[in-house]
Amino acid sequence: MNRGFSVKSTIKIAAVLGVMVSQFVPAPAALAKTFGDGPLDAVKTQASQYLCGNLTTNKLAAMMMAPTWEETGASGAPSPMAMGRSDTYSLSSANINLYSNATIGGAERDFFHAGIGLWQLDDAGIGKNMPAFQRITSGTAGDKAAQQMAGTYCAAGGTDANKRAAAWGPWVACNDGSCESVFQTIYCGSTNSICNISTTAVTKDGGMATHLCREQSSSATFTCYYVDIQAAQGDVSYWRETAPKSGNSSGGWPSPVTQSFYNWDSSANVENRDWLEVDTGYPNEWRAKRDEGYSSRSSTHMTWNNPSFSNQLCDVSSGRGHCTPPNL
Amino acid sequence: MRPVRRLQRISVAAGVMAIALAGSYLAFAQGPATSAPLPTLPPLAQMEPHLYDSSGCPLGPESDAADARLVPQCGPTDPQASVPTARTRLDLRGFQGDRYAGPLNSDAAVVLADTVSTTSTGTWRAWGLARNETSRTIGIKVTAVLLDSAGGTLTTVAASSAVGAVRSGEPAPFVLTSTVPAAQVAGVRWSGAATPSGTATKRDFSIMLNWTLPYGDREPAASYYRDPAVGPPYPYVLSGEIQNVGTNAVTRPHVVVAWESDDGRVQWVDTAEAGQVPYRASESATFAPTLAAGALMPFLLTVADTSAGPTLADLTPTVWVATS
Repeated sequence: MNRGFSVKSTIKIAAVLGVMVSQFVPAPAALAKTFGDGPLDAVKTQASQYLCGNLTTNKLAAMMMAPTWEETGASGAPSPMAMGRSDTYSLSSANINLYSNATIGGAERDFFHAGIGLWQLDDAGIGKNMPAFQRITSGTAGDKAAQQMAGTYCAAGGTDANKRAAAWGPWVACNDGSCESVFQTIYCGSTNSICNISTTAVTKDGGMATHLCREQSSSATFTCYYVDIQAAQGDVSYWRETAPKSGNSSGGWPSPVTQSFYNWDSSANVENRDWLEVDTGYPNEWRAKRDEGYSSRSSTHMTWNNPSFSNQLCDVSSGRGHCTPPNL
Repeated sequence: MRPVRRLQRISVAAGVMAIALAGSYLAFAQGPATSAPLPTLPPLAQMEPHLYDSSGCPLGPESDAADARLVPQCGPTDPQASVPTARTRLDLRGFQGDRYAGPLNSDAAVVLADTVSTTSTGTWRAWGLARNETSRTIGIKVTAVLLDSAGGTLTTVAASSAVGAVRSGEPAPFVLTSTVPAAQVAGVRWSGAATPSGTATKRDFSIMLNWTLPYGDREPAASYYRDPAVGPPYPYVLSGEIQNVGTNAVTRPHVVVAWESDDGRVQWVDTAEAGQVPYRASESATFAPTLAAGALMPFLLTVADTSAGPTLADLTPTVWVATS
């Protein structure tokens, strides 16, 4: 969504998918767009909860959908699991903390993407209070997008187009005016309908799965979300497949793309992402912990570690990971 | 590039000492230093009621309806966060940056010498932070006596911080300008003074930083933010939003940003009123000057200065939101 921030004890700015803006040619105005059926349902539901002024559910839904193609790099249906590829070290030294153990090289694909999902909600901006699983799933991510866009639209004065532009203010992909073009394509004002959209099968969570996990020496289970990028739905050709997947070896564009990981929040509002050896092929399990409310570029609020034996992760639902007794 | 040198001269240390003595330093020296309370943001369950349950656990994504979302079993509780130090970056009400936490070492407004940068060519200018080490909300005025190589006074310059109500423990940025050539300045005697605070309004804002555009030759922006009609070069742009997390409407909130280099020295300070666009305003949306409780408002800070602008993209912004 945005260009995020921070490092060490400081914050700095980095593009999420902003670089893409000049790399993708927007579809001609009259060309139909493709959107996932699950996300479309979620977008409409969330839009209906934030109506104000002259917004209708379909109008706000179209506004919400407008940035998603550019933000995720999709020519087909935007992928709810999309991970930003532009938060590179060369763009901002602040981004070093996104690389595994804050080091370029090593476990390259244990990469902590700051911008995630259909709206690339970034943990330096309006996604700062949300763990990855909420930014991936269309319902929770759409809740934030709808709240943001409707709130700004209805507080703004000016023409309808002026107000829409303000509502898209946090999304850097809209800076070139392309979101208005997309909106004009997919919203038919005369019938107050979403138009020129074809749908395809994409679930609201985009392929993410809800599991139960525990730490190896504990029988206490907790909800964890398996972000299996091989199961990602929608158009993954840009965010998942752009080579090299391990990222530019000099820290330039593109950033690495993560391998599959587990995501959960502790009761202290710390977001955890955990990369199991079985998913990555690396010799060690890595875990990153981010304080909700803070940018992952901040080394004081996002740290990396190899979990100790007792803290290693067991996916109870699938029996994967570090699952020595006590088993459930 | 704007040449900047570090202030590491004896005159700075002397200046800091003078500041300490000017305040009620001796009274504090006899007892343990205290820390100011941190104006923390409301809990997540209050800030994000659609996304967190009442106990602060993030809601699961299984349902579109907020009231039907799964309440997951949160993972193991992490150890209590360590006590923040002066260099811990904090996201507080109306403030996002470091140097807020830590002890109050004196009952005065203190210039933080290790944050100050000055020009070495052209006329003498300075940027830096001063910290409110009193126990009350104050305004801060910073004075610099510029000295020649013989220790004589060249001139005295002073300015108040753009943050009018500086809370106990909070740093605030300052900018000083003079007409004296920087090359003539051999030393500086610094002092800070507490002044009546500019406003009694609480600074109950959450700050979100969205994106930046670099200074120079780039594609012009043409959405809510519009670049000047003439260019490139186009200005550096910092885009963000504030949310009023208090219970009262606030009029004309403004955002103050100090950009710091990795060593913590302030390289530039700028300010903008939230809801205002810097260029081509007639082509963009407008916002009422009053921000209602709970409402969002965008802000845009631009720097067109040909020396400073190109340097800002890789600097760290510290952000304040204040009211007039």
